Amino acid sequence: MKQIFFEINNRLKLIVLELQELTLFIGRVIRSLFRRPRYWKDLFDHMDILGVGSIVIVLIAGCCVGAIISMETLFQLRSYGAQSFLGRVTGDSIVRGAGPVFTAMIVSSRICPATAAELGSMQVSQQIDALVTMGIDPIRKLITPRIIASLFIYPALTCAHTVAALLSGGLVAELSGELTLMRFLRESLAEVSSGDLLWGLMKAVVFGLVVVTLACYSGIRVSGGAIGVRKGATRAAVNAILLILFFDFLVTSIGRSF
Amino acid sequence: MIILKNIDFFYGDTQILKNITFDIPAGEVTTILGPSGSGKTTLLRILTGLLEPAGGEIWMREKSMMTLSKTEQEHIRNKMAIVFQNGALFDSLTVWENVAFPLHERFSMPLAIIRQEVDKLLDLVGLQNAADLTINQCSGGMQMRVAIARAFACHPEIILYDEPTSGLDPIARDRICDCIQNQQFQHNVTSVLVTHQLATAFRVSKRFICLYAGEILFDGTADELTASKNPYVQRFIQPSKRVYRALDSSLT
Repeated sequence: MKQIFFEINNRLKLIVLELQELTLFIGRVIRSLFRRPRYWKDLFDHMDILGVGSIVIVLIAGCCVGAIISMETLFQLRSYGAQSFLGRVTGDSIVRGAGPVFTAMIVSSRICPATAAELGSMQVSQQIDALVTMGIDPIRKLITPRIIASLFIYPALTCAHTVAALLSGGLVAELSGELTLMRFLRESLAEVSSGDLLWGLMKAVVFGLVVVTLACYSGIRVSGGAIGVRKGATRAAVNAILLILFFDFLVTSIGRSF
Repeated sequence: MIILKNIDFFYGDTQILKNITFDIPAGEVTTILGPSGSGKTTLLRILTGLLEPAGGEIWMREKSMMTLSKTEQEHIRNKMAIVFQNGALFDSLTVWENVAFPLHERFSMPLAIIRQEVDKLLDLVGLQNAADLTINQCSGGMQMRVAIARAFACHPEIILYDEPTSGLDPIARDRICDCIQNQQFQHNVTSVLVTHQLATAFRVSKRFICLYAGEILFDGTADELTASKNPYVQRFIQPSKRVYRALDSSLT
């Protein structure tokens, strides 16, 4: 019994220490956002990697998601004879729900493990120590540009994903013979207010901020060679997906209560 | 001058450094000797500020680092450069870009001056023809010379070398020893060399500190080291006594 309490105590201590480290890390990141020097080239490089590198996959995913939502919704609405509502229902689901979540998941599954592995291998090979000894803050040089890039690119990719999803959803409606593409788009957009659009974009900003920060944290905390890098990358990928779902729930509950 | 007073350091419950006290005179090469795991690298990491000692004091430029603010500590440590054991080079950059990195990122120098400076440094370490190679295309000796050139690029007053010649052939080792001596003679740089290779140590240094299991066993000159009666020091230097004698006779 004593052993169990001892074990629980140790685990709790580790969790508290990890939370403390994470809080300190977030504090340093926030501070570094407002301090010079700014690494513009690194910022544009990360915007390129995150944005241009993800755009094709995001558009393909957007087309698939829009088509699936449209088909499934049509199937449900048909049983009530309410096919004419297809545009309204689908538009709302895509803009407020599926768009930001799917974009964040796709981009994060591409970026988070890669970020954690890159920073982790830099940590393991003492490249981060080298930066520190050169008087260069690794947070400012390596992490801040990634976070700022995510603030701009996640919403931009969400917009691209949403447009692709709406177009493919409309195409499904057109091909099914229920609605024309133009009517589908008109009704979808009529149902979506500017508040909904803003809400979707805000979700994207929150997702980007949270998952990229945590991926950087997983990377910079790596220790113990190749296995440590693998663990860091895995942790970053799993945390990203779970956090997106958790924050989606959180933001949606707050949004729907207003 | 750097002074270390009663430095203690722990990894978890294991004490790595015990009551380490010595000084590093300005403009000289001081060698820290000792077998693997004796705490040499930990000591260097404490000097650079990468690790915080559990106890004791470090004095640099006649100021106790413990009493200074983080910014003041950084200001003093910016005069220091370290050559890591594995080089710690940026593997996504070329040799030229690695050497140019501190000049661009830290000093924000104009490109024309960076070019001049990097070419001069690559020439100094004998890598003028390897500028466009990536780090993975370089041999161990070349990587170490890139790391040395990058450290020199920071124009440091103090350079810490962590095992700069381990695993290298005699020619590469000689080149690196030349680089260390050049910096001392031409720029009066204070150097701390961590090694367990006595041939390198005898070649570049006059002062030796021997660590064993986190404690200082010996502090003195080369002659005092070879004459030391301490059994651990004797065991450590025995194979290299011949080298020292050969070097000594060739110099005289």
